[in-house]
Amino acid sequence: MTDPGPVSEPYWRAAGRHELVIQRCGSCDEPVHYPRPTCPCCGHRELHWERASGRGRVHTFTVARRPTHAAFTDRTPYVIAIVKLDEGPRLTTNIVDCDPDSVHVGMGVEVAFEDRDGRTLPVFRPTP
Amino acid sequence: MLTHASPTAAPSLTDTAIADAARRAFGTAGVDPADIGLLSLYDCYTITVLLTLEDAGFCAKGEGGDFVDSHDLRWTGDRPLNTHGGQLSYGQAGIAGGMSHVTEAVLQLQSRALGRQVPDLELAYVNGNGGIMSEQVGLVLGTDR
Repeated sequence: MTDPGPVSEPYWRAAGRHELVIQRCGSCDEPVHYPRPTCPCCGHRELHWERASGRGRVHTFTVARRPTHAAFTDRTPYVIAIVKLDEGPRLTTNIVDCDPDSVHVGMGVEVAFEDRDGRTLPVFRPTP
Repeated sequence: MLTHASPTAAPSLTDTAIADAARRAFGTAGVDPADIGLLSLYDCYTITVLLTLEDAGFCAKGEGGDFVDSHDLRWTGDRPLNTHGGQLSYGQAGIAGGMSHVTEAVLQLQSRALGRQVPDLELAYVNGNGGIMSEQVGLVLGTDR
């Protein structure tokens, strides 16, 4: 898992509180994820953190049937997905709490939080 | 051409900036994909080659698989492609891997490709790929005519 850096630390700290946050540009209002020091849209340096709705849709996904790391050995098959948040940005995550074969592009999902090894990882599950 | 860093931000998962890079290269050279005698395409994965064939205009979108099935890609074939074996053959040699496609095209155009020389070659197309399908370079190389 990525170590929090100076730019991404607020993201991981919020995840630890089971909150999903994204950045928003103080100049052009663009919503931004992954965490960055400058706005990818206009180059402005003041990005503010805000809580995201936690809702989105599956943009694309694949099912890993063999683990790519020992830490995932007991989790196969698992779903690696890009989720498009309702706010606009997309993020890479896992889809959990469902049959991997039921996952499809456009599927509505909501954030959940997985506490593992002293870190918290935002994952997504189907919207009820 | 540069479109994104993280694949989460890719403008499209199926259309790549190869199209823009190739259009610029062919436009500058004043030639068409049909004029090209050697394809020297960055091949970090098999899908990269198929996407390049499609987006650079060597076949229609979605027909990359049919293209490689219906053509002979060997140096003796009708559509020579990566006649040095490509990175899928000898391993991805880091940054140097991309340059191998340039050096092979140059060797072929100079008639110095010993044991694999494509006959009567005049034009080669080279594609360079970087990042995660995010940075694309197109190059048309030719002999003095």
